[in-house]
Amino acid sequence: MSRGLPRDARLWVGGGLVLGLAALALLAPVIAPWDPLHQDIALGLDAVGAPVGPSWRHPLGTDPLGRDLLSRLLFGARVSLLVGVCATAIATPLGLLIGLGAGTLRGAVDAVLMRLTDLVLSFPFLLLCVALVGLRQARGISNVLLVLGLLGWTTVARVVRARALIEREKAYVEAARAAGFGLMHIVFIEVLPNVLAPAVVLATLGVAGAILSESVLSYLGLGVPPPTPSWGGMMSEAQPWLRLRPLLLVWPGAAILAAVLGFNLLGEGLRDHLDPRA
Amino acid sequence: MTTLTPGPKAKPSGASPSGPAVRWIGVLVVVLGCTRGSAPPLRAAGSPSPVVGGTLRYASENDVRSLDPAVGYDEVSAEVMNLVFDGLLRFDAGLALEPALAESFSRSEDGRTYTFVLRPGLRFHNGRAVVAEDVVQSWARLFDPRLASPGADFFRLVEGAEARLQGDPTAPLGLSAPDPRTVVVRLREPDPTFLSVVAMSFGAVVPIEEVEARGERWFMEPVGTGPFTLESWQMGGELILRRNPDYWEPGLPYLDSIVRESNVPRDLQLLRMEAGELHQTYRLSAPDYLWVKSEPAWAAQLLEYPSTDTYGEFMNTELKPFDNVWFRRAVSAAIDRDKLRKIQNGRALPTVSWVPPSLEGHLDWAQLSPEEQADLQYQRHDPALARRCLAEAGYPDGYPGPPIDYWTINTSGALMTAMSVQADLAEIGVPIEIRNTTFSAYLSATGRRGAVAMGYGAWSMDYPHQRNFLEPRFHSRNIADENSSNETFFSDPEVDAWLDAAARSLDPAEQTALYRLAHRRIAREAPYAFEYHSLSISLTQPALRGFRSSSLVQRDPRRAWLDLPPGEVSR
Repeated sequence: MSRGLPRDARLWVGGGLVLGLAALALLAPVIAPWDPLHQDIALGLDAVGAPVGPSWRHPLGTDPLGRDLLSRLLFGARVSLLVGVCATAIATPLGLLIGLGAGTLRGAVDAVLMRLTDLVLSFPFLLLCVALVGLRQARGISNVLLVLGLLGWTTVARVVRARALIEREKAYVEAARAAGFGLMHIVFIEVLPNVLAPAVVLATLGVAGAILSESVLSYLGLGVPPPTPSWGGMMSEAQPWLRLRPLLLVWPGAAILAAVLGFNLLGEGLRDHLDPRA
Repeated sequence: MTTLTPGPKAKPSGASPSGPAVRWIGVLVVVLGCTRGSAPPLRAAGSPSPVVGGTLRYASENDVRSLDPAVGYDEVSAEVMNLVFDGLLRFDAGLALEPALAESFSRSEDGRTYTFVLRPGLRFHNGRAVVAEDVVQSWARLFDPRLASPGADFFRLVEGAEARLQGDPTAPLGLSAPDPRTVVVRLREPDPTFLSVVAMSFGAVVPIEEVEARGERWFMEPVGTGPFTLESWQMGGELILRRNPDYWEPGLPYLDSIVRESNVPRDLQLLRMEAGELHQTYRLSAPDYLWVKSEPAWAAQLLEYPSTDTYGEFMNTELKPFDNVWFRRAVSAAIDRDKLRKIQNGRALPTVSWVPPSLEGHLDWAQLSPEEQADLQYQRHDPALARRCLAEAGYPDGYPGPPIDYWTINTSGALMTAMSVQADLAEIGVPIEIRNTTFSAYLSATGRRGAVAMGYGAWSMDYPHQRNFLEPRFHSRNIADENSSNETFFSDPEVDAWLDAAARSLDPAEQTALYRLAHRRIAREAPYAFEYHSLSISLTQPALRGFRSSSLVQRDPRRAWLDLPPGEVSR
């Protein structure tokens, strides 16, 4: 679908979706009609105790515990965005450092760092996440974003290394070296700005990936522990109700779709602007 | 129905109900929800009489723990033991006693001696004839302290049982076999419920030489007299039972074999029912239960029946503010039992009675006299009465607090109940704070004297008699400083006297009248808010006939048969 969109449209649609979601997440306590943990047993469940559909009282209906779905979606946006952004904030600098180190230093450092990257990449990502999340006793948001952050740097490292390999052979680097600048200066002042563009693009796409991973982990019961609302957790709670109340699954699914689409469009739009060659 | 909390903080805005957005949502719902009308795939062929043969298949979330009848005490193990073993007596579908291995039985005048006469020609699965001495040895096993049988307590009144349990293996027992078909039991004191105890699975008759030969493996290689023999049991997997050709009930069983799978989640069980791979399931999840009820062809195959249990809220009569009877009555009358039914998806039967409906002694509001209704009125939802009681207790403007600690267990069902009760009590001005803990923490706290003021409570039966409901919870003898079975620490000398007299009474009418007096008094004193009896369910394929489900044995295929076209029976 994005292929058909003009370049600028991707940027604007993606940016709009992301900004909109961020605004909803930030304003959740103000705009959510209910406390997301409140169980409206009297009117949020029907006569046989099943969740109710959309009404004025509950605009998107309720979940199986009589909690307001809209409010849970809004508060769930906070979890998703927090995990997505924080995990990326850990993964991207890590990937940049490793990629830069490998690309500019070459030799043994390169070999070690790239084999480490291969090692992390060679494990099924989700399996590793599940193992790491399970290893740590404490469950919670910090746990999830730490694990996603510590596993998410590999693509950035690969791309940055490839770019750094090209940049380090260029005349300006040679000039800097000839002018007597040290290694640190060359790596961080000369090479870094030139590899930043693909890293920013990858980071944006990484947020989308992290949001998706968080929802998968929460769906598997390894993510954010209840009763804190998260989109993956909401889907997990809704799954047994698929036949009777399909909307329970549709709302969080649509939210995840919107967030992932938003960040992906934004990433593609950014790439077109920052890195026209790609 | 009352509102629980202040309404929405903000008026939600959006498309009007008839707007295009809502219409699109409607289309989406129709598309997604448009599963074709589903019907059970295994239809009955319509045979007028039971067909012999075929394999019954069902599954369970749990595996059997032990098939040693002296040890197994969970309902899953009981379900399989019921097919492998027999006792002298058993309960019929209506929970009435009927003879099993015993042909006849009698009780002496003083109520202390019971004589059972075995049927002729009984054989164990290994081919050996059953003799009266087998009964003596089977029951004597219960008193072996090394076995620590949970059944020992029920048979404790047998003469010499205490001494054996204390570790004297030679103490003479009040069990004897004067001839190969006669068993005589002497009790220390009369116990009219002893026959019910005999019918429990602990009373099963086993060949002692097989028990000794198998030693550690006995619990998984049982030998009994029941309609099925154990062919194989893969722990955590399939358990296969095969027809016992020597079974003593003529013509039974009809089935060739039964395959019982373990560790199959309940939602998967329903899907496999739809695929025709299983014949019966129970314990549906809430959405599956509601789905079955919404599909007429499936709903027709759903059996719902009251479990023999009672749920409610206990109030510690020794702790403030529950030491005041009016406060207890206020709390009990404030609780909306119909709302509790709703959050259980209708799988609960609101009640005013501590004794469940399937037992003698159950009190049904509609059938009570006005005087009796006056005693039991506090066990019904009546907010106005609750407020009057609260005023009578000295709190006309509500209980000032601090909030009362309310203990419950951390399952979603218990938690939903807690929150519902919390809202009901807030309505009359009694604040409570929910403490949800693990089941073991809950048990040890609620059984400790002076520890817990209020909480979620329940009782489910050991044997089908009202005595097993009224005594454990409300007799002062069952008060202890730790692990108190009487968790309300309710003590009423008159109730004690009625319960004791009833327990000794050999006259059924007198016994019933005495229990009724005690039951009424307990309801009136309200140490407990009686709330509901849970409903059990069983969903069967139409082709499965004669399958019985009762609160005693949830799955009883002893008389089941498969009404399939002749070619398919042997499938």
